[in-house]
Amino acid sequence: MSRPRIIPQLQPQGSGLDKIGGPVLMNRAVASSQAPAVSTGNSEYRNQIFTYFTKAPANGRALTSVLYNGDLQWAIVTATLESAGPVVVGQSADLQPVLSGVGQLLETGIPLTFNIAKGQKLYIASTAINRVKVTIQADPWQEVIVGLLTRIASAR
Amino acid sequence: MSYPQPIASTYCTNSGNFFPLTTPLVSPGDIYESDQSGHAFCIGPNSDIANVIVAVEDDQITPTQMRFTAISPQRPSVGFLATRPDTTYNPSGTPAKILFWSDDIYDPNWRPPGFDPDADNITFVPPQLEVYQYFQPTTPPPGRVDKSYLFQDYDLSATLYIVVPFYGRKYAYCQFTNSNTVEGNTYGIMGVNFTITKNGSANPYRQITVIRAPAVVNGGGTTVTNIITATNQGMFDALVFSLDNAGPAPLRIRVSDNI
Repeated sequence: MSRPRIIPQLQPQGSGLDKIGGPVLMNRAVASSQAPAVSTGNSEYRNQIFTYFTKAPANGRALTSVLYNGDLQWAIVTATLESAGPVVVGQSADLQPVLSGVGQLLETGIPLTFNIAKGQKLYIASTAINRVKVTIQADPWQEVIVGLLTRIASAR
Repeated sequence: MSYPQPIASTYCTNSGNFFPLTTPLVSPGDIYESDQSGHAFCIGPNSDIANVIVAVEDDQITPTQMRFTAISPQRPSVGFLATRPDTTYNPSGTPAKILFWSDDIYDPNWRPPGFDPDADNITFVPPQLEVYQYFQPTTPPPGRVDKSYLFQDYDLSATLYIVVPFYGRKYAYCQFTNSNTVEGNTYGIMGVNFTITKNGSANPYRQITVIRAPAVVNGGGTTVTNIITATNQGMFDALVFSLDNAGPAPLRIRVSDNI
C-alpha cells in the first residue's frame, strides 16, 4: 500500500490572492505573508558599513586577506575602490599575482556587488595601500525563498 | 631633496584624492618615488621645474622594464599608471614603484664667468619640484601660477649674484630701484642654461645670454625696468641678477608662463 501523497497547500482556502506560503486571510489587520525564517539573533540583519585599507607588504608581494567571512545566510557585498589600485577581489584564498586574473580587478569609483551564500568567503589583495568602501547587507528574504523552494521540492 | 620625502600612501589613508609631491631640489640627481598608482599626473601649480619624467614598470621594455613619460605645464599625463612593488626594475633590482625626477638641469655649483670665490657671493633660489598624482580619474588643469620674488637688502662683500629659476617661463618683469641715497649699484641681468660639464674639464661649458650688461644705477630712487620674453631674449633655466651694493635697493621679479 503506497503512502498517501502529500500535496502542499498552494491554493488559498477562500477567495484571495494566490500566494505561496499558506492560507490567505482577508482581514487586512492580520499579516498574511510568511514571516522570515527564525534566526538565532539580530546579527543576521545588521549591515556592515566600513572602509577597508588594503595592506602593503614590505616585500612587495600582495597579501591576500579576508574581506567578508561568509557568516551570513545570504549577503550582498558591495566593494567600491576609492583610490587607484590595483586591487583584486575573488573567492580564492590566494589572489596573487594581482594582475593575473585570479580575481576581479576593482575599478576606481565603480561598485562591484556580489551575492554570497553562507560559508563562502570573499578575499581581497593589493600591492599597495588602497581605500575600499565596503557594504555588507544581509539578504533575509533570499533564505526564505530558498527555504520554501527546498520544502516544496522535498515534499514532492 | 627634502628628507624624508613625502609618502603617497599617507594621503590615500587620510582620504586624500591626490598626492602632492612638493619638494625643493638640492641636486640634479634627485629621484622621488610613489607607492600609489595614479590615474593622472601633472606639474603642480607652484612648480619651478617645468619638465618632469614619470617612470613606471613595463615588462615589454627590455632590459630595464622601465617606461618614461614626460609631463610639463602644457601637457599632463592622463591614464592609469600602476605601481608594481611586486616586480623590479633591471638591473638595479629595486621595487618597481612609480619614480619622478626633473628633466630640467639644475646645477647649484654653477658660477658665472669672472666669479671670484674669495670676494663674490652667489645665492640660489632652490627650484621647487611639484607634481600632483591623482588617485581617481580626472583631467588636471594645465599651467602654473605666476611667481613673484622681492629682494631688498643684500649681504655682500664684492659682487652678489642672485639665481632665480626660470624653467619653461616665457615672460619676466624685472624692476630694480636703487633707494640708497648716496651710492650707486652696478646692476646686471643674464640668462643661463645649465649644462653638464665633463669631470676635470678646465673650461666649464656655459650657455649665457647677457640681457642687461652690468651698469651703474644711481642712488636716490633711480629705477630700471626690464621685460624679458621668450620671443625677444629666449628661454632660460635661470635668470641671474648681479649687484655690488648692499642697498636698500628693491628688486622685484615676476615670472609667468604667459607672454
